Amino acid sequence: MALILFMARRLFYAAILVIGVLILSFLLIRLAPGDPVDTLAGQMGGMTEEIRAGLRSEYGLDQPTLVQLGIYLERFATGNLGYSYFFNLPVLSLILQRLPATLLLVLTALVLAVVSGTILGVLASRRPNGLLSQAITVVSVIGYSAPVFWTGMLLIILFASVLPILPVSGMTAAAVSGGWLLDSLDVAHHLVLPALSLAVVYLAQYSRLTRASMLDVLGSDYVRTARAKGLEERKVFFKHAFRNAMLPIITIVGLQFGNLLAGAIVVETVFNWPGLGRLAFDSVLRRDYPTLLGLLFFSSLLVIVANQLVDVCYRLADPRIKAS
Amino acid sequence: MAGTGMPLLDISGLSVEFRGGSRTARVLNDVALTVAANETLGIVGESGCGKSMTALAILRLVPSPPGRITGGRIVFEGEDLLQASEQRLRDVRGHRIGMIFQEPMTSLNPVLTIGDQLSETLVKHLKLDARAARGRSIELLRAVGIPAPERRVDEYPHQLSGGMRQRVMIAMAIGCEPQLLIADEPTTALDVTVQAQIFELLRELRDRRGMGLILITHDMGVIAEMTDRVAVMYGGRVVEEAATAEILSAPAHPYTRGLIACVPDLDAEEAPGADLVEIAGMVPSVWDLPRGCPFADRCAEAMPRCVAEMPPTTVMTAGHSVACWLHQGVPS
Repeated sequence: MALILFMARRLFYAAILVIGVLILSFLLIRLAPGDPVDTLAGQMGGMTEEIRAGLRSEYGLDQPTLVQLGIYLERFATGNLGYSYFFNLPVLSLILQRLPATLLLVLTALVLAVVSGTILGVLASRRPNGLLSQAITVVSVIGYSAPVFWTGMLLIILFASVLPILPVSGMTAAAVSGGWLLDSLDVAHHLVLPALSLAVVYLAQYSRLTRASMLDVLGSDYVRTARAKGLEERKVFFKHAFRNAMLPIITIVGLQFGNLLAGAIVVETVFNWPGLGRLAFDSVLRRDYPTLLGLLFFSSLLVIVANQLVDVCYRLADPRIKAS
Repeated sequence: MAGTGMPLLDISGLSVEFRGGSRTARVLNDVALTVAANETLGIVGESGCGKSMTALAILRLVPSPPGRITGGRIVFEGEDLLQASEQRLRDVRGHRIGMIFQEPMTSLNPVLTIGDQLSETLVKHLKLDARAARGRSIELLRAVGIPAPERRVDEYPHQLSGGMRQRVMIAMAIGCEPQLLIADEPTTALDVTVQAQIFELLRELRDRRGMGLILITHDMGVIAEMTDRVAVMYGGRVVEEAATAEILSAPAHPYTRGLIACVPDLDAEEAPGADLVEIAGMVPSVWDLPRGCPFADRCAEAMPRCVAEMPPTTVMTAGHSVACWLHQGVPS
């Protein structure tokens, strides 16, 4: 009950936050030089001033910015995210069409990073000065310092020429449809490299964090108590230490979900993955305001949902936290 | 109440070292202690004298690295625990020897329920099933004086007060009816009224179950009230050991005399605001122990020999031994 009340309050704050994000993004985009009509004119190889003015008034771009904002918010309140200037499609359907690809990529990378990161971290904490522990430290530093696009490009070079066993671009092979099973396998095959590039940084971070957190917890009084009870090391490790060591990991995963989405934009661009990130990148170049705003709205929504989920996880993992 | 026959626990020559970089700290030096069944041995001394380390060493729980047991024998019920396998040791820990730690606030796992933490010892050592272990946990909570144990068993440590948590620790330590209970400053973190209750509980448990009890404290008042025999530790050594009554009436080591003099006498008609007695100086760092007697630089009766050479332990009268040059006949 307390949890439901807590969630309701959080949702209320989230709604205010989303509106704030929308207003701020709307104003920020207008600060960038050029508008959709300029971009269009550039692509068509020039355009007379009259046609430009006509287009601007058709799109409502000749109105003062604040009036445009008002109109946008008014439509937004009725669930209308507007039309993409470029695709001539409703922004909502454009986004919903690409959302699954991004979710697939981001969630795969997240699960990969959290699961293998914690496993490696726990293994490393068993022998804090052992070979694995040191290897993880080295790999983490590299993984942490390497930008996502660079990792991605190196992987492309490796798998495009040296070891061509994985596809380096797109989400499906040209000739598809061999039943849902083959299709899924095909997508999974294409998913390997993008998910890996996106996950590497976080995997490195989480393994280091887990190692540090485990070492911290293993030195605590209650772990000593567990040992003094005669419990097996395995039980001391997983029942007593691991659950406590996971608490900071949960926090960090929540905080970093936004970064993960940002990373997805780069990875989708590098690997030509047909998701929201790719769309966002193109929309910025095209000054496709409605699409961009819609994307920002959805991203903030995703981050908020992720944070809510993390809060729930935290509550389940740590009995000391109560709705307050 | 002194025990008779073969000692339950017989420690001799116990030494523990800590390594930090190129330096070595001798945390315990040649410690010898015995405890009989149904006997309470007090270990007293200031912070950093090796009391807690002795307790941890008995269960081989010295944090390693950096710590290491470098020598000695810890014979418990005829078996040397220092030679025992890890697996054998796990059968002794929490089963034959129970341990209560100093910090009730941090010694319980915050994410597991009280019942969960009590049951796991019972399941492991007494092979109870989950249901029986839960029933026995509730009984144990009741035995240590926790009200509404049926409800408390499902609560988490943060929902309990410090005194209640220490009671849970005690319930956990006695759950498998150990032969020996080690209580390391069990009441330091608790307020005075709760302290008295905890000691009463420990005494009652010892009498009822005939356990040996090692009570570690820095409080001479507790020693006087609770123990049959006392070992006074300083600088990682046992500097004096005797029956409690004897230590209190005829302390031999200057350090022991200092500790006793430090106890404020509430009955004495001293002027309010009279100075409290203290032992001047500080406990030497274990990283930098002197060659001679570790107490020499704080001792009013120190002689040149005290600084140069560590005094051996000598038996003064039956059951009263001391390590001090003052009691070695004429110093050379």
